[in-house]
Amino acid sequence: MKIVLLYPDLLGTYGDSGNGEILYRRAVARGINATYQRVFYGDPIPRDGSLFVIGGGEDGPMQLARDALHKDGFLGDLSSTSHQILAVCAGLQILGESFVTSGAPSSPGLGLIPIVTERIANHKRIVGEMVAEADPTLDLPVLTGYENHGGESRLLSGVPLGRVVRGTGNSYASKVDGYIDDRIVATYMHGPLLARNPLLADLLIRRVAPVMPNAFTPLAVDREVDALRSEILSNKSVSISRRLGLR
Amino acid sequence: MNKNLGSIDRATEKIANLIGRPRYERLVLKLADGIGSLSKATNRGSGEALSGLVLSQLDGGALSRSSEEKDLIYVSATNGKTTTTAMITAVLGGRSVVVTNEAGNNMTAGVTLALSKAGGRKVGVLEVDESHLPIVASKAPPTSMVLMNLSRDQLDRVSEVRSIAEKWKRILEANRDISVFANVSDPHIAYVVRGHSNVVAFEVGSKWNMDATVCPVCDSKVDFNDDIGDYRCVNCDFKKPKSDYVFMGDELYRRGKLLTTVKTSLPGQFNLMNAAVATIVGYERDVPLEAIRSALASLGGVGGRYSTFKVLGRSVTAFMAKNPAGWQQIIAMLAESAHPLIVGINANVADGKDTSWLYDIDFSPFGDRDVVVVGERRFDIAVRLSYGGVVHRICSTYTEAITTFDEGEAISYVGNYTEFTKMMRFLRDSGELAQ
Repeated sequence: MKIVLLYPDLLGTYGDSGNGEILYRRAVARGINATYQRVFYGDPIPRDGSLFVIGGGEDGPMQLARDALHKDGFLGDLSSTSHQILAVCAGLQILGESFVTSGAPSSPGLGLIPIVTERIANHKRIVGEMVAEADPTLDLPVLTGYENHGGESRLLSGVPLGRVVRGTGNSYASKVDGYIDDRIVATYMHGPLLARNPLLADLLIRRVAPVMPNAFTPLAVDREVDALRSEILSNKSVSISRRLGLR
Repeated sequence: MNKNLGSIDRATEKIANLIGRPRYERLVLKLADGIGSLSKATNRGSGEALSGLVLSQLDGGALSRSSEEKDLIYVSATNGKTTTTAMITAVLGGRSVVVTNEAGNNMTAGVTLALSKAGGRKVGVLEVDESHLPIVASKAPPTSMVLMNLSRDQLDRVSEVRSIAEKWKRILEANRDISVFANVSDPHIAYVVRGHSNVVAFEVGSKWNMDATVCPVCDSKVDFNDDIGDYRCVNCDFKKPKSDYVFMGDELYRRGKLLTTVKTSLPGQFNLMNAAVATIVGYERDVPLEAIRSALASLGGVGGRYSTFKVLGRSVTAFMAKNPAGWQQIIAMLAESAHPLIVGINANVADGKDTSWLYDIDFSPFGDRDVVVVGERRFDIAVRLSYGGVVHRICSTYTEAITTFDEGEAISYVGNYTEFTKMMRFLRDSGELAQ
């Protein structure tokens, strides 16, 4: 299994590179023969990658990453391959139909996700803790992350990753976050996402390396993750300050 | 009266008209001082932050008024501004002749408070928060600015790096007279001063370039040659400009000739770099080299940073690191020793509420170290270290953390902003400063 982190030099601003490292560590801990490759801007994208990870970043780098992926062509062609993609924030936006940057009101995305991203109407950047109930078919505990984006995304069709119970998600109106299908998991959650939601990491690993579910017993780190999750999920001040309109 | 004024402004204007402007201004300063003292007496920090806030809220004109006829130098950067400000202050004669702000109190309110207490001092050296620099520079125009570096930090509160660079550039476009000391090792700083005529350019080296991979001029890729600290855009003419000063190892060169070696009692290559910056500023302002060297040699820790405390039968040396670039510097320094470590992480407003940045740091040099984690977000750093292969223990109090090590042990502590501040309070209350 080859785990590929795409363009950490362009889309590594928000700590999402941790997702690649976490997938690799968890795969290895399960005895899976995994490798981890970081692909920098200008490097060729390996054709034998099984799990591609792409994160959030600033407007200019985001546009560059989109152009590079488009030119390369591989990631956009899902017809003949079996790879999985995890996309966060700007990563989600450039895989969509179109997105917005400070330089351009609408740029075409790679079209892998039926989602359109536009500038937030009142320009109120969406920043803060997010909690979402994952789509029931995924059979995952509640998802937690930290969102920080200046665009609102609208799903044209398909299934969101989760229903937002705290925070904002794709847009102020939608109350949902991200997108899933059988090839893609996309979200606005940083944290990084997989540090706070290890079972989602295991789900991605299982999708590319099918093994018996009982091989996925908890790891030593998961006790620390449990403590982290219960601390974050019980943090009442987050929801109260939101209710009071303080953020 | 201006209808756009807020209710506080309307009320204060009424009072000022009633009792007379000068009297009102003196009253506000006294009130700010009193509230600051109260805050200090009740052990809520130095009181400076609150005091400054009261002053700037109740007297909106205080900043520009107190900056009149002063020779001001603003120091701004993501990392190193507190220490470099202290160093430049020392080089220019110390606090008896230079007005400066309390360590870390670097937002508009803090600058206002410091300047309002200038008394007869005409020279000011002030650290200014990156995102507050535009407003401070417009209300209280400086003679010079020392711009050192920009990298990711507190992204939930502060803008992304490129937008700060744009705002800094606009300061210079609006005020052509400002002379800038610019660390052009950082592409963002080179971009800010591009086209500005009044620049002293220097290279002190930069180890972190993950936030400058895209050209600020044309959005193409920037190529780095890390061996020689060079960079250029693959598409347009943006590249590292020529420098007046180059700092290598501990040697400072001016236009190709060795000017002086630089020494500081503070640890780490990054503090040598800060001292080199202070040397350049001093030399350009005609301070004799001998005086610069002795000022830098006698400067100790700043705001508790780098101080060693005897506590609970052990010794603890405290370091602050707030963001990936800062951590990278501290880790490089600590990798040269083998001391056990306490790592503390908080995620309050002043730290940035999103702890994702912990994954931008390579902790593997601590892999064979005895490590304990503390802080409000100790589980975040615990998980991070686990994935990074660094074995550690989790402690919920400082006493527990420190006594987990053998008696007599010399411990290094690294914390981010509010965690560090809390640890300093503990060390001052429970221990005593070594030496």
